[in-house]
Amino acid sequence: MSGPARRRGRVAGSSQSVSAFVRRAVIAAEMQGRQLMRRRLALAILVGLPVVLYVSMLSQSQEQAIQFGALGMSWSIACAALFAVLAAREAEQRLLLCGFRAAELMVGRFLLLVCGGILLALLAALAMTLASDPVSEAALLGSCLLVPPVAVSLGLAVAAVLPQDLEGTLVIIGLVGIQLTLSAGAWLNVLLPMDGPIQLAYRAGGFTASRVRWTLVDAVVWVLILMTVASVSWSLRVRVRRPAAAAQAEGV
Amino acid sequence: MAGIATAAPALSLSERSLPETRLSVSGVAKRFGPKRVLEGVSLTVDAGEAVALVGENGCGKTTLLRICAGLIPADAGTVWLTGRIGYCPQEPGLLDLLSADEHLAFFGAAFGMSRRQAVVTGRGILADLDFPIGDPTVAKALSGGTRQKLNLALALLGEPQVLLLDEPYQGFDSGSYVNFWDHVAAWKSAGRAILVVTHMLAELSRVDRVVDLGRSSRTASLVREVAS
Repeated sequence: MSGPARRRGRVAGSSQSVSAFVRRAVIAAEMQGRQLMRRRLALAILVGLPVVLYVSMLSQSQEQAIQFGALGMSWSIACAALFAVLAAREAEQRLLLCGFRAAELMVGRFLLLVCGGILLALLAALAMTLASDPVSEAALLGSCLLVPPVAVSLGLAVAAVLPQDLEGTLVIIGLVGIQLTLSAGAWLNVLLPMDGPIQLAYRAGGFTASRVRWTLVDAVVWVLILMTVASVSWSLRVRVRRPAAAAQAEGV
Repeated sequence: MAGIATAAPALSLSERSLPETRLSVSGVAKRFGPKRVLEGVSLTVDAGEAVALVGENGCGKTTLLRICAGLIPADAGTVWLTGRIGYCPQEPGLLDLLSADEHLAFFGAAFGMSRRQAVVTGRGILADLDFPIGDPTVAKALSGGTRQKLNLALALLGEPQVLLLDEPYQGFDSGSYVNFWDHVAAWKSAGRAILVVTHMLAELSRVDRVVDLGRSSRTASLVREVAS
């Protein structure tokens, strides 16, 4: 085969594999969405938790209520991600055995949960804008939009590293809840994944928040770190070790 | 046997139709902590052959099947396998909140099947197993036997050449149970290699060979193959 023909073959092959990856990630997202939509009580609690936290603080401090709302969303979304992984654990290895790749399932799940989280966040941003009269609407919206990707990554990483429901939930409660006890400028914030969105929530409530300009970078870095941890750890956990010769068979 | 041998002309090696080995397990050992579950286990399964794996609870049947499927590693030994694997676990590895058709679409995507193709093919398999076709009930609301039929159908979806079945008939009613062994015969005729874990010793006449992984047979020397 000539050089250009070989290159064309390689391009066609890689475009086919990208298209297969996307197709499988989309169906993984769809099935995740179907399962989530059927957990109506869990969905109600998912929405209710941030609302309750926000409203309970609203009567005491309008400024801090936004921070509580953001933390509540973080808990809800991270725990939704954790349980999405744990509920599928048995089936996941079977899907891998059939031919799925761990990354396809992980990406599909991430996209679905982030999209669902953003929908929740937009509603929350609208409600908090109307009820709290924030100092900066942009900071409030930014905070709400950054919560879903970071919280989903956190939930997926915890599920991959510690795939037990009680233990995982407690770790998430700890990692998110500790920010309730810290001031905006506390150095420990840097070590906490939800710091970026929470800094923006501080700013939206009228507090002086440090490193606000870096919140986007901070959030992106945390998403990358957590998704790397989630992908590597989960891939190892559900890995299928193809017996010799089977690896050569198509689709095994 | 001797009579047949003398009546038939001797065949050279190249003329003989040799069985095609699909699965070969050699010297496999596995420990869970201090507990030795398998040691030096060897067996082969050829195309068009059904092999039953028997033995008491805890003797390592499920572990051996999971090693063959590649779901857990062996501590020692090798597994050689050719062809697509269809694995039916003892506990249905299903997604509780998805219906049968949704399972078919999801698992079918793994084989590169379109949604329609997966559902049509899968419904055909489910119909053979007397599953209520088109039932929108989610998996967790199905009866144990019906869940198990879905579990088995997913193992068969990708037209596997090697079937690893871990007590796949659990919860089946008597009719479905009888049908299951008829299906085993049909899969054999189609050239599939079948390794089935079973406790149903009355049905061992339906398989070609029996491998006993009894308590003391965790060492290679005591694993015995019994021609049925």
